Amino acid sequence: MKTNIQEKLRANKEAWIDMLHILRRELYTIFTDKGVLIVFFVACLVYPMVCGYIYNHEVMTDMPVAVVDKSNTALSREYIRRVDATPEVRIARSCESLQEAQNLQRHSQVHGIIYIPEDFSTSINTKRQTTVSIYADVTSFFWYRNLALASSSVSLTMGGEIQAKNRIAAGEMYDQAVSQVQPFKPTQHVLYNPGGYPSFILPIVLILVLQQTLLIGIGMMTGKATETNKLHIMIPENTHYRGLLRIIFGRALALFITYIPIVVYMLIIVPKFFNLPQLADSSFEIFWFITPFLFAVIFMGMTIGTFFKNKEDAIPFYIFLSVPMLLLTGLSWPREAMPAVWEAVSHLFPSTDAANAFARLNSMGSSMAEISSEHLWLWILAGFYFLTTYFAYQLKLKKAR
Amino acid sequence: MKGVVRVFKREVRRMISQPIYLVMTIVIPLIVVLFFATFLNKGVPSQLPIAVIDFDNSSSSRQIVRTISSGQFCKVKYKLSSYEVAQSRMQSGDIYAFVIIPRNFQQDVINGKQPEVVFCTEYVHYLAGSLIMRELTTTLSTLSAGVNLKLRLAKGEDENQALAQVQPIKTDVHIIGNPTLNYSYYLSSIIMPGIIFLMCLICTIYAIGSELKQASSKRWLVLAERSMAKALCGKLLPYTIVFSLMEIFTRIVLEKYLGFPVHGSNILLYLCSILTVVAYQAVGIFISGCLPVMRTALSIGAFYGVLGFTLAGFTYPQFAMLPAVRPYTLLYPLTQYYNMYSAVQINALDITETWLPLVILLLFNILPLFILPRLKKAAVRLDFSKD
Repeated sequence: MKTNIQEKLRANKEAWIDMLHILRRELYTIFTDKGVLIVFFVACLVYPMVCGYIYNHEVMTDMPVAVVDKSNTALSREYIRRVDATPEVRIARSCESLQEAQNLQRHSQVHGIIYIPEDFSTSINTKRQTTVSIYADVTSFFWYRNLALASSSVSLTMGGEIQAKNRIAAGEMYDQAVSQVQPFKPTQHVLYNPGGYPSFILPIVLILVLQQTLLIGIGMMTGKATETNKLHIMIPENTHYRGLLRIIFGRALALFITYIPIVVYMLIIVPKFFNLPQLADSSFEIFWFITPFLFAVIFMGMTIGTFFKNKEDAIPFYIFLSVPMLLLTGLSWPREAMPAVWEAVSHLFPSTDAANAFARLNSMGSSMAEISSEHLWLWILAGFYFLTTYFAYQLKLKKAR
Repeated sequence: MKGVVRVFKREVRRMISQPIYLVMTIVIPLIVVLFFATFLNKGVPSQLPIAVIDFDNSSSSRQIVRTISSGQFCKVKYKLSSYEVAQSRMQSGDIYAFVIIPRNFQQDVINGKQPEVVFCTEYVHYLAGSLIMRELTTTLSTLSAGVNLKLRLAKGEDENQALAQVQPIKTDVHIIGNPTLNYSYYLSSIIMPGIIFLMCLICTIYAIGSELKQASSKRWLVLAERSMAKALCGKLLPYTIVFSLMEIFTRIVLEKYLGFPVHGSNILLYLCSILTVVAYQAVGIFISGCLPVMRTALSIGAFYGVLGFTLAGFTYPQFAMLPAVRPYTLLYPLTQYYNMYSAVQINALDITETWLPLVILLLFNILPLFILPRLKKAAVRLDFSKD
C-alpha cells in the first residue's frame, strides 16, 4: 500500500511541482498587486471594524414621542409616567391637540404620538373600557416597533392592576384577585441573541465581506491576467501551465492559504472584539465549516472571472449584489416569505448557507450535526463551481489555441 | 459650450460601444428593480414555523395550540415531547420559537394557581423573532384574558361590562400610510433607489478612471478646450440623464406597480432624485481626483458607497447610533434622499418646509472644485503609478 502511494507520487511528481510552482506564482501575484491587497486585506481589516463601531450602540432606546393628554387626571398622568419609564420610549413633548402632535411628527420632531381620550379616567372608574390611540411614524419599522411595545405593555400592566383593585374592592382576597385577573401567565424567554439588532446583523455582514472581497479580488486577478497577457487569455502558455487541474488547484490553494488568517480575524477576533455571542464549541468547528465555503467562493469567483475583460470590471459587477445577497440569506427576511424562485437562487450564493451556519454555530451554539445540511450543501457548491471552473478554463484554453 | 457638446457626443459613443457601461447604467438597475419588486411581494411574513410542547394535553391546552396556529405570523408545525428536542430543532433552524404548556395546566387554571406558559424565542432571525414575540405575547395575553372573561360570564356578569373589566385599557395602533405593516414599504422604497445611486457613483469613477488608465485623457481634454470642468460636464452628462431617468422610473414602479403610498408631491421627489444623482457624481469626481489609479478609486468608492446603506439611517435609525457616528451620516447624499423621502412622500411637506436636504445635496457639488487642478494635472501628465 505504502509503496503504491510512493510510486504514484513519483509518477505525479511533475504535476505536483507544477502545482506548487503555480501556487507560488499566484501568491506572488496576490501580495504584489496593490489593488488586490487593498480588497483582500484593507477591506477585510477595516470594514468589520467600521460596521461594528456604527452598530455598537446596541439597543434602540428612548425614541422621542409626543403625548396628547385630554384627560389630564392623576390616572392619565400615571399612564404617561409609565410609558416614559419604559426603555423604548421617551415623552419628548406634551401637546394640546392631536393636530399639534401630528405636525411635530410631520417635521420629525417626534416619531410617535400617544393620544389619551377625555373620558380615560371616568371610563376606568365607571368600569367601562377606554381606548388609548397611538400613531406611529411610518418612516422606519423601528418607530412602530418601539411605540407599540411600550404602550401595549403599559396598557396591559395598568389594566391588570385596575382589575385587581376592583376585585379587592369587591371583597376578594389579594392572591385570588391577582390570579383571577390573569388565569395563566405568559412568560417570554429569549434563548439566543438577546443583544438584538447589532449582534444579529454583524455575523451576516462578516460572511458577506469574506465572500465579496474574495469574488472581487479574484475578478481583479483574472481580469488583470486577461489584460496583460499578449494572447489575451488568462491561462499563460508557460511550460508550467499545462494541466488544467494543476492550474485550478494551484490558484485555489493560493487563495485559500491567503484567506486563512483573514478568516481567523473575521470570524474569531472580530466577534471577540465586539462581544458578539461566541457559542461555537471550538475554533476548529468554525474552520471546518468555513473550508467548503471558501472553496465554493473561490471556484465561483474563478468561473465568473473568466468573463471579465478588464481588471476593474469585477467591482461594478459584484458590488450591487451586496444588499440582495444579505436579504437572500433568509436571516433578515424570513425564508418562508420568499418567492420560491428567489429561494432557489439564494442557494447558488455560498453566503446563504454559510451565514445561516455561522449564525447558528456562533450565536445559538448549534452543534456540527445541527448545521450538517448547510455544511453538506457548501461542499456540493464547491464541487459544482469546481466543475464550472474546469469547463470555463477549458473553453478559454481552446479559444487560445 | 462647444467643448461640452463634443465631449458629450464622444461619451455617448463610448457608452454604446462598450458593454460594461450598458451593464452599469441599464442592466444592473433593471435587475435591482426586478429583484425588489418581486422579492418582498408578500410584504408581511406568514407561516413562520414554531413548535409546541404540550405537557398537559387537555382541552384548554389544545385550545391554546389552535389559537396560536391561526395567528397572522406563526404556524405550529411540530408538537414535541421535551425541551431538549425543541431546543435542538431551534438550533437546526427548523423553528423560530416554541411554547411550553406545563403539566396540570387546566387543573391549575381552575384552581386559581396561575400556571406559567413559557415561550422561547430567539433574535438570530431578527425580524421573524420580533414578529413572533409580538404575536405570541398578544395571543397568550388575550387567551388568558379570555379565560378570565369566561369565568366572569359564568358568574353571570354583563358581557360588555365583563369585557371592559378584562381589558380596562385598550391600545389602538394607527399606522397611517402602511396599515398592514408591509415591510417592503420600509425597505424597498430606499434600498431600490439606493443601489442605483451606488451604481451611479461606481460608474462615474469608472468613466473618469478609464480615461486615465487608457491614457486617452489628453484627447479628452483637448476636445473640451482644455478645461477640466467642461470635460467633466460633457463626460458625465450622459450618465446624469440615464441615472436620473432610472431613478424616476424606480419611483414610478414603486408607486404605480407596487402601490406604495404617496402623500406629497412627486415632482419634488423627482427633483430630489436628480440632485442626488448629481451629488453622487460629485463624490465620484472627488474620489477619482484623489486617487487617479482607477482600481484603487473603485475600491474606495465601493467601500464608501456600501457603508451608506448602514449610515443613511433607514435600516437602523440615526438616533440609535453613537453620537460620534452621527456626523458621518452627512457624508452620504443617500441620507438626504431618505430625509426628503420621509418628508415629502410620507409627511407631505412642501418645499418651503423641507428645503434643507436639497440645499445639502447641492453643497456636495463644491467637492469637485477642490480636486479639479489635481485631476487635470493627472490627466495631462499621467505620472501616477499605473498599478
